[in-house]
Amino acid sequence: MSIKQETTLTMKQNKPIKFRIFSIILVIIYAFTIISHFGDLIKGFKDGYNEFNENSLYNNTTFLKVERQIPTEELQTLESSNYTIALKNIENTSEVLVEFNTLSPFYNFVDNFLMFFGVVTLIAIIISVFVLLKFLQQMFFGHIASSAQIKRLRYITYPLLSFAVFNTSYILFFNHLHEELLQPFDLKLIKEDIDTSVFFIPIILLVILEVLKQHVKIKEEQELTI
Amino acid sequence: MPIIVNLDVMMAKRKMTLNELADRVGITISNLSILKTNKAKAIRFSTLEAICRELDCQPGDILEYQPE
Repeated sequence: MSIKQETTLTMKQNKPIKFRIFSIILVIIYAFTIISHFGDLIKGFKDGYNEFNENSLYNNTTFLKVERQIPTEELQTLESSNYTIALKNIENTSEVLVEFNTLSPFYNFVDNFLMFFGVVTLIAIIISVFVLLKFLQQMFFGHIASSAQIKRLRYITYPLLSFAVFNTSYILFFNHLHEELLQPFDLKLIKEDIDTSVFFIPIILLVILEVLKQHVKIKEEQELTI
Repeated sequence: MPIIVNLDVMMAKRKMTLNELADRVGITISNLSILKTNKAKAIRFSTLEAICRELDCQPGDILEYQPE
């Protein structure tokens, strides 16, 4: 091997340029994503806070959107054997707001139960952000396929996957529940859309995780070949 | 793993130390120790050939198959 070839090989081994570039790009993209989501979070919090202040009954009230089937002037309070609902006009849309003032304890229990899991998942995601930074720091120095990095990647992947599963189940469950609530009144619910793209990143990460596992296994076998 | 390495038995028969065999075969003591303690995942034909040559034995004297 010539001196030039040897120098090139040593440089490649000591300076993982591509990993450094990728990790820097990922940190920059991640920072921008967090900044944009932080803005949304603050806006959502302010909206929710204002709505709570405007309506003291907000905590005991659930709002749903249904398709407009009757003229605005005929919107009124409807009653079934279990529930009473109030139909309210939304300006310039083909939607009508339905206000439930009394809901079953089961509904409140499920809502609180799912909210609890949502908060737990959010905490796990916040922790996974710090794990991601450690992962990227190690990647910057060229350490990508090791047991520790696989463990870190697992800590990043599973909270994201849990969030995706939780989010989808939550939407599916409440769409079904709200449809059942509206059934006695013969109203057509405007369902919340299911965002399947939340599964994309966790599944890709799971594939990378398996590839890294295979790599570590092959590397270990190679090292233990005498 | 169902493949057992009986290197220590052959070394004892030939009255050869780990250091000496490692020197003669041209591998490190730690690698030879991995082989002796059954921690190795695979063995190269060239290594097996060198060990057989230095211990004056057949591969079957060193390697044994024991079903799990």
